[in-house]
Amino acid sequence: MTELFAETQDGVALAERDSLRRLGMMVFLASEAMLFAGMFTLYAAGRIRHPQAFADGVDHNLRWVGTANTYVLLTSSWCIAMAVVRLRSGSRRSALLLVSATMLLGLLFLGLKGYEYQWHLAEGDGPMAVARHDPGIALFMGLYWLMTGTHALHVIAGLIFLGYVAWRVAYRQANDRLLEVAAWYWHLVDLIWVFIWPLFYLLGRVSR
Amino acid sequence: MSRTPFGEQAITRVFLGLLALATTSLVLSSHDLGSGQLPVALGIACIKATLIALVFIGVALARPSHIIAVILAAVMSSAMIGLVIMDVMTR
Amino acid sequence: MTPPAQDSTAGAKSYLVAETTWSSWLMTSDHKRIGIMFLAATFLAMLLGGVVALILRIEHLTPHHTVVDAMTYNRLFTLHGVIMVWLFMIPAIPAGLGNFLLPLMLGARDVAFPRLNLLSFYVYLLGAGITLSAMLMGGTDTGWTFYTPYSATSPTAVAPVVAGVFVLGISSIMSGINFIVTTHALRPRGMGWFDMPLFVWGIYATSIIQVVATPVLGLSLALVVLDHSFSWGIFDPARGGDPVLFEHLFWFYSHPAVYIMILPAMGVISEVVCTFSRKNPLSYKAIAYSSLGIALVGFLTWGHHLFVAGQSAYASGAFGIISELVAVFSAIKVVTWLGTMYRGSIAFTTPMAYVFIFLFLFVFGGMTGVAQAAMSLDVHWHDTYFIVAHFHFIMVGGTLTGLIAGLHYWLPKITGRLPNERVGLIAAALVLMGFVITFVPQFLLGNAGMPRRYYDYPVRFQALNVISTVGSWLLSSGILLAFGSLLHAAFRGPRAGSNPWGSRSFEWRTASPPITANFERPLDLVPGAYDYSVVNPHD
Repeated sequence: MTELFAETQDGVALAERDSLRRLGMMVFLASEAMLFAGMFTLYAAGRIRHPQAFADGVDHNLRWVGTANTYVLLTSSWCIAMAVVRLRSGSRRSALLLVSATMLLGLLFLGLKGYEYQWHLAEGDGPMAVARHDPGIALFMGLYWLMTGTHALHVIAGLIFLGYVAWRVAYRQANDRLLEVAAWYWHLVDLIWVFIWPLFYLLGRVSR
Repeated sequence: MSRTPFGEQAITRVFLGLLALATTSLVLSSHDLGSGQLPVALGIACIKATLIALVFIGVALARPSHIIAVILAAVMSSAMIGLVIMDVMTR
Repeated sequence: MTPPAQDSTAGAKSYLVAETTWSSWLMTSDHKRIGIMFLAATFLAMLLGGVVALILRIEHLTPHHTVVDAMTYNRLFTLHGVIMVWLFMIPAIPAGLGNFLLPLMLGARDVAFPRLNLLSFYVYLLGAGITLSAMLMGGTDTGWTFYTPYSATSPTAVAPVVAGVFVLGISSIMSGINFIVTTHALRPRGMGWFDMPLFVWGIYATSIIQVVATPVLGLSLALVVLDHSFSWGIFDPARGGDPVLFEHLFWFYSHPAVYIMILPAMGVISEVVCTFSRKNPLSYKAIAYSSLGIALVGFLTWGHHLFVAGQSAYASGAFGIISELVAVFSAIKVVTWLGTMYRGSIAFTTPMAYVFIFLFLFVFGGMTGVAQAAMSLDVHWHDTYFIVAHFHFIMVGGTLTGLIAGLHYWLPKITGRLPNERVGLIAAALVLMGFVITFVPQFLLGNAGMPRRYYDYPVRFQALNVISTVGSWLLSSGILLAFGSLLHAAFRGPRAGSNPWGSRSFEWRTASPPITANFERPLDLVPGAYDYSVVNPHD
């Protein structure tokens, strides 16, 4: 515990640096949330103006992939939250196992996403082909690639962040506070998907 | 960020709640709720998002002054979506 | 948190001479040096944008072709807007003066994340490089607002310019996060929110806007690139998109961005007024809360840019009403500043002269804003020179005069040298005269129906245009004289001593220029930052 109170070169105690990081991450998450809020605004306006086309677009999407990914991400969120608790109580091993599970689930998410993208591309619905669709569908597909793509980039960023922190934790260079900050970022990625799932996979025209 | 952090039990309970909500959403999506379809699905999503933010990200434990930006983002994103919807619906 | 006094800091050299190699500047994590680098970069941007403005004014000396052709004219007014908004006014006071002063005012060693701070500067340079090289290699003709659907179809280099602005936004978010965390976490024990110098409130409110609004700008710009490069058509009505949505997202950022520019300037004014009136502010809380009030309400007014864009009448009405509220908070500030001066012992120095200019121009420009927020009047003035004059009154008359006031006021803090009062006052007089002569005719032109961003105009508008152009020469000579005098004083001015103005504010309770570690001893919070009722033990 002594290292917690050691002074860095900057004259800021380590314990205090953790608090700075937590606050900084909280503010950053707010910023990230606004990025997606803008996209949801576009979706809302588009859906009001083209309700049928958007419903058709949802029905065309692979519902089972989106649904599977929902459960994958929720479970990964639980894993990383547990990892933080375990590391806080001192069990580094169990924490690292849980972080690894989180990252595996993240990779599974990306794998499923990749399968879905591949399926769209095979149908000729790739991001470069958005302009070929009818107006309403084009808007839906544009938003689909934009929002799921941006989200997938955030998943990748989250995986890199988690991997870096896990490595530091494994070599005892980081404490649970740093892992907690990385976990928050991962939870945000999950939180965004909570909205993407119904908007792009559930709310179709017909009930199935 | 000053109060006792959530323990394993609380986290697992919230996780189970999230799973239940997701499953509810999935089941309801194959029933025709008419005009209620969209509000119900998004209402459930909002509850899930709130749970993740409050418990997993720990917003519920943070000092109020530390989450000014988070609160502002919540208010302003609602305002953005709300005012734009008002414009599009009344055009 | 200030480190406890150590022997190593006693008798330490000032931050300016502690290290002198190039890399000690370029790789520094010292907020003071980063602040100075931001000031230098934004100053160069202002010069470039100013030269473009002069060319634009010269072009309008005659109704038709004068010096540039129509396409060049379009590219130049875009260049002027992009440079002045994103390269100069948004970073100048927060990332320049704010960077330098925030830790000093809080008694801190540095900002919360010093390396992020340096990264923010280089991201700024990268964004500036992308934007400027794209502008100089061909430029774009959309205006700084990049309105769709034109920006999605313009044959000019829209994508690289927009990408540059996107990168600048990242820098802005980085600085914002840094300043928010610094303000929260690095205050010394005993300094509550209402003990902070008022400038910190201005920077804090600005940072909040930067962090929350800038991502939406980034999104709207990214979508313009997708529309332009891949014909996605998100904003293209022919493809089911909606161009009005671009304006919604763009102004969701760009209207609050006006407050990103003006709130730090208001912070400067608060500091200068208190110091040179030798009085505590009439109401500290009124100034602090109105900063937050402007920041909050400013978020909800963006729709007043869309009155003639096809927005619904309901929405326009709502946005119009909310917009008028900004005037209430602004008026609270103006009244509080005037009340602070009342019965104070006012020293008529150069910074104070700029405060008076600020008050005059801000109230004048603000009143025209109140008129324009009324929908019926805006329909007449929209997209005319009336708008141009209005926002230059706020941006130049507000932000630029605030910046110059701050530079004169804090020059002794930054360099340890005093500015020349006589030259400073002459420059201030030139700035005021030049400004009024440049922009009052533009109000008249706009009201008479002259549209903005047009290359040609009817001959009957020529007289007012010539007056405006002559005014722009006066204004720019005033600005050049002010900055020239400041630069000269920075190297050759007389030594100032640690607190030449006799201010009580916290940043003056250490050497001027400060040592690298800012304070040799932990900051003493007594007397308060505006307590002029007691003898200052620090003098």
